[in-house]
Amino acid sequence: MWKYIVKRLLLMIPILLGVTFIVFFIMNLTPGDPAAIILGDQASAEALAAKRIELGLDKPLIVRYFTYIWDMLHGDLGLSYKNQLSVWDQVIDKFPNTAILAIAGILVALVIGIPVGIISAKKQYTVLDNTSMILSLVGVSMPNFWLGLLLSLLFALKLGWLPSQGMGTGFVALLRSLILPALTLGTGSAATVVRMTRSSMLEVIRQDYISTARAKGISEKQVTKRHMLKNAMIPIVTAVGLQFGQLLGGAMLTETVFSWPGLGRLMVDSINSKDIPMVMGATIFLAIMFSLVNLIVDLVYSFIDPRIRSQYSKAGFKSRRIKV
Amino acid sequence: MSLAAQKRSLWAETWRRFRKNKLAVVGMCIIIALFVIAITTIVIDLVTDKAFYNDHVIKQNLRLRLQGPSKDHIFGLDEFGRDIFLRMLWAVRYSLFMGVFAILFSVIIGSIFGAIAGYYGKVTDNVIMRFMDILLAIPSMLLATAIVAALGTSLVNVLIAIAISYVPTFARTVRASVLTVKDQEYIEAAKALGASDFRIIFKYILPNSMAPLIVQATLGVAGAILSIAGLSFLGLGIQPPTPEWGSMLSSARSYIRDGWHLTVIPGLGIMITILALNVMGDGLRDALDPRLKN
Repeated sequence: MWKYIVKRLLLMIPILLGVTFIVFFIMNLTPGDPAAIILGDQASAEALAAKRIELGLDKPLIVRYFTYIWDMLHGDLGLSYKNQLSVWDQVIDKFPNTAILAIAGILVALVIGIPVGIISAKKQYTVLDNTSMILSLVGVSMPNFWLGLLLSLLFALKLGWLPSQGMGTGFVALLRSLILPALTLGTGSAATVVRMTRSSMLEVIRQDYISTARAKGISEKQVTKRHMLKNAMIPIVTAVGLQFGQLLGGAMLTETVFSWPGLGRLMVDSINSKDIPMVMGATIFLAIMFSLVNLIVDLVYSFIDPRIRSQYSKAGFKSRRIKV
Repeated sequence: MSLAAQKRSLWAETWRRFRKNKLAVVGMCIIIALFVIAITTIVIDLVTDKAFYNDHVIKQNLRLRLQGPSKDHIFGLDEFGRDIFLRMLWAVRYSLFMGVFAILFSVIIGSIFGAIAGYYGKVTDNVIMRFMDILLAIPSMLLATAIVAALGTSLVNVLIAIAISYVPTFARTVRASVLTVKDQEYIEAAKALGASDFRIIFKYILPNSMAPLIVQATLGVAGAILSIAGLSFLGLGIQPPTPEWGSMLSSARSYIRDGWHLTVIPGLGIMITILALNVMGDGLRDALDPRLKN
């Protein structure tokens, strides 16, 4: 088991290097001279040249990349063009807010998704099943920023029950301000989880061992919980893990709708002010978090499924990541 | 019987199964209707030399701003007094064609990479697929945003951004189906006859990947349209005053108190399009591979 975990961790290194290189490369395609962006239009040619050397822009891309990585490992993502503050500090400052939102979103997805999926599978082709399938289809097809606008239109403006902007301080205020963004972020994922849970349960539900369990006289509740759900769990965990990653990336939209002070909004603001180090730092940070979540999901598999555990000790690493 | 006749019957069979799924057929009709709308508005622009567009779609009429739906303007008027119904119609082309083009682009690039990786295997496969793994390790919306942030907001850049973020999905799909057919005897026969690798890949292998590719592409267009709308909503996509659903929602945000129709209608447009593509994609999947249906 430990061998497997170490192996997966080592395999992360080339992926992360690749991810950071791609983002670094893309960001370096930005037209315009960074020195001119920092110093403004009035700067003299000498000042610009000096600034370029200070930023290391005279060196080749690959050298700059490894310098960037080296600095990153030491908690330094450069300075923001806009306010000359440390990018790392700002990213670390905003990330917890995004994490809170993403975790709340995934909770919404789980709390709605798994029970509805189970009921849907157990009552296949009934009115209940059809309704939940139609609703989940609508949920998957709804742009989440639009759902956010609709929710704030109804619950904040018309009914006045909940705040629609910003993040509250203090536990109760935070919770109140979290409800609408979390619902916005989580609904699409909930719909995906419903569909995944349903189809995964349906695959299990007709297996012989379920009939055996029933024949042994185990209560239906126990059969569902211990015999069906446990076996249906793997694809559900995959779906949830992937959704969590998507939520980190998709938080940008929700954060913009609700003026949530997270990493996504920081990124959007930085794009608008052409603050490249900030955009790069935030993107790389989110991409690394996404990879880490994927890694954790892969490790969770091996805990919940003994078959995978034994397969790995024999066959080694196989990629199972699917894009949805 | 020739091979061509057999192939036709496969598609006829698929169509027969697809037709039975009422929801999927409705989805397909909606998509066809949207194409008709998009093409009609383009023809109107060409014929009137954009006069109609300038007078009715982007011309402001502040006196009537934010008016709700009425007999003259069934979807009401926006914050600049423009008819929302017309703007919705003129916006169809951006979402639909950009979504389709972006996915077409990534299908082509992805298939080439996937086919090469699957066909040649070994080091080639490893290099290509590890690169795809890396691209997949960045959430697609984040990747697209980063690309647009670097290259600047233009129609073409948004298209490139979305296309790149979907390449790995198609590369994987094609690679998987190449692997299932490449050891079949008819490939061996083609090799024995002296067919070039190029011919084998494009003539004998890729056609076998069509079914999963078509399904993935349909669902991909839905995803791409959502991403385009999302980017426009963030102000990184299509810029005002050009009508686009995402950017209409973005400007509606400031007037959310003044008129519900500004917020509700553009989102409905996006949702119906995505919904139609999703049910059509699901229907296609069931029709192309009935074994998958539970």
